[in-house]
Amino acid sequence: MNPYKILNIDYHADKREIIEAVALAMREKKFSVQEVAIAQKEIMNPMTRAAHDFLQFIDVKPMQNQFALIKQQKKKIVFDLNRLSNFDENS
Amino acid sequence: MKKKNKSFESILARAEKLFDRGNYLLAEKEFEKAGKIEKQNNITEKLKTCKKETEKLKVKDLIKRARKYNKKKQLRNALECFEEAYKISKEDSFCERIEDLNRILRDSDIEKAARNAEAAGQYQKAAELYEEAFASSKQDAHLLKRALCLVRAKKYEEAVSVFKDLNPSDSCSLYNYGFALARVGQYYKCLKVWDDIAAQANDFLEQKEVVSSILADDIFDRFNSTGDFARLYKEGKYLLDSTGRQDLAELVEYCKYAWIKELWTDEQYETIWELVFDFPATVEPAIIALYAKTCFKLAQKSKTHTQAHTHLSNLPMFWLTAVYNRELSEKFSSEAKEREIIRQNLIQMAEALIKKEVDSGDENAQTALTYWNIDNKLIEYIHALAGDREDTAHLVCTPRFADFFGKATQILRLIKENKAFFENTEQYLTTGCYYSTAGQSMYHLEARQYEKAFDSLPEVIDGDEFATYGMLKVKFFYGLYCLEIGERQLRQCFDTVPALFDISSDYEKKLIEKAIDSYELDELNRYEEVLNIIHIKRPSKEIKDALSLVMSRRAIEMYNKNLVNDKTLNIILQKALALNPKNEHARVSLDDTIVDLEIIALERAIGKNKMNKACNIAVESKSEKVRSCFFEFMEDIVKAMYEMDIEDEKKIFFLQDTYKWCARVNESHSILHDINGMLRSLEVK
Repeated sequence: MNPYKILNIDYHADKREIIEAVALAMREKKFSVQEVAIAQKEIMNPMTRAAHDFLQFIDVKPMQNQFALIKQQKKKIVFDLNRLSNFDENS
Repeated sequence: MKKKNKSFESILARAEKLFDRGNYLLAEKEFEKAGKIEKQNNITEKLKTCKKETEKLKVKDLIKRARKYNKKKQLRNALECFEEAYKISKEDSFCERIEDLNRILRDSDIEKAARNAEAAGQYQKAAELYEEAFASSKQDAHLLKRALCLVRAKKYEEAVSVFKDLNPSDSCSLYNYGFALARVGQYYKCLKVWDDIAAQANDFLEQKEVVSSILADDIFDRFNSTGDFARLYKEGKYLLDSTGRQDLAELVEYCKYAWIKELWTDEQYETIWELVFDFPATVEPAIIALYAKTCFKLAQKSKTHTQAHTHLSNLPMFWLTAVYNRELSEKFSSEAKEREIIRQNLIQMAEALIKKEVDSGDENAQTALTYWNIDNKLIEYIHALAGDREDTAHLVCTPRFADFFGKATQILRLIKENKAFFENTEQYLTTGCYYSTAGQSMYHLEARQYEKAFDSLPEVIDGDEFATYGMLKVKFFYGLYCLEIGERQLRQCFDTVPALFDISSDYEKKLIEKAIDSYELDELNRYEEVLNIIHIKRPSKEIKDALSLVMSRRAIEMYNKNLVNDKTLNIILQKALALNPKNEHARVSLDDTIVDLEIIALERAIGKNKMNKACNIAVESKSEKVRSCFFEFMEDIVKAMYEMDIEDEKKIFFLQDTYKWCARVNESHSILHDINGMLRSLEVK
């Protein structure tokens, strides 16, 4: 169960946004009342929310930060390709 | 007048003759001559028939000729024949042939014109003519020619659009397709197409190198201007792998993670797993978390047991390592107590996922759960040992994670340095064993996969106490398994067992319990063999007692099945009693055996009329049963003698002897009274 998906909220959603999202989810009826209620309960409890935060989101920045940001210093090669005749049928 | 008639009749007769022979051409001429002389209806009819038949023959001949021309590829001549045949017969089938030939000749003309244009260097015109030829022929060869001419005419976009639907395979087409792709800026596709060319001529390789460089530049450009990370990664990875250009390595990795982020949002976990599956030598916490979450999501999304098993088996090592990772768990909460609650929440989430799969009947999930339980316990110990220390916190991981990422040696050192932390030696050794070279074998053992456990034992242990413990334990349980299924590799399993009993007597108790619970002869045979092996190396009282019981039980089983005689039984039971004098089973059995042996000896002595010997056996026996037997024999003998038809004096003599023998055994036995009675009655006579 992904409460963020059920309530259609993002990682930073605050209490007010959660309550609004619950009301909207109830109206939309995309998920059952029970599912919405559980999602609300899970997300309002900091302990369970932290667990969902861990599972439902990934952070790739630490991996990307390992690389010095790439800046191309190389001079571009002039584009002057000529067709080779080696492969011509009668060559 | 007469002459005229004769001439007419002879002409008509000749005509009829020719007609009857089927020579319609000559018959026609004769009928015409006859008709000029005298008009007759039947001549007109015959003439019509002749004309018709002659036409048929003409058409037949024309078709024959047309076919010959066709074979010789003289299509124009063939066409003329068909056209003439059609003129005569007006048959529709000729129309189709005529149309076909016209089209072929037209195509041939176009193709010829196209070739001429191509030879003259008018590639644009040649391309158009080949297109025209294709419109009529629908042959891909014409399209391919068109595409090649378009390349030569430098109409690269058009060439690419023609090539892409053709899937060319010959080197010429592949080269030109790739060249056109390169010229329209599709460098990656160009290189992929060129990869299918087997030829490795230098100038071609140089050109490939040039395009690779241009692609690299293009990737750098697009990295700075667009966000299509999936494409950038794929193209960059291709270049990295095919050319080894290290200047792209970081960009490729960067794009990989940017793409992973997009894939996560789109729930494309399989692709993420493929991207990260190539485990690096060292892993940062963020990547451990990525492995853990991807594994979790994949296990959650799996539609089949096989898929689920793959991910569930990887889940414990990544999930537990991630949730116990110091850096990652510090993000859960700033409070240690809260961190622990969140960690336990996360552990329960994963455990529930595995248990759900177990409940669905997946047998492999049961193994995953076993592994999970092991890892969960072990990581708790390692966390308690190292989790709070700056220098050792990075060692908190499961055994399989340690093995994958080269942390096992450090963890084993940590365990050794903290032996006092563990409740007992066995807990210490078990923990270390999972992180040792015998770890995998221990996992199999715990999952009751005894054969796998035995087969995966490390070949070299080299004095390592943890691996040694693992080897001892695996051999012991594999041995028990062999005992159960009747395999006879018992020596190699049990000759090391005494060392395990020294670590924990629980194993000795376990073996003894199983031995004592065995009753079947086969089982008893195996247990006796095993207990003997152990007894020789480590003759503990418990083993002696168990061996004694199993020996006596086995001997009795064998005796009952007539596999041993009383003498052998007696010897075995005495041996069993020597091992354990308090073995009641052996003692009672031995007593019974002695009685049986005495009765046999008694019967034998009486049979040979050695009454003194029989008396001695009865007197010396500790068993009343032997004496009863003696007196039963005596009673039978006395009765038989008394009723025998012999002289009374002889009877008296024999009864007096019998009286003495019986009195020696028991002077108050009732038989003495009976004998006395018999003697008196004989004396009165």
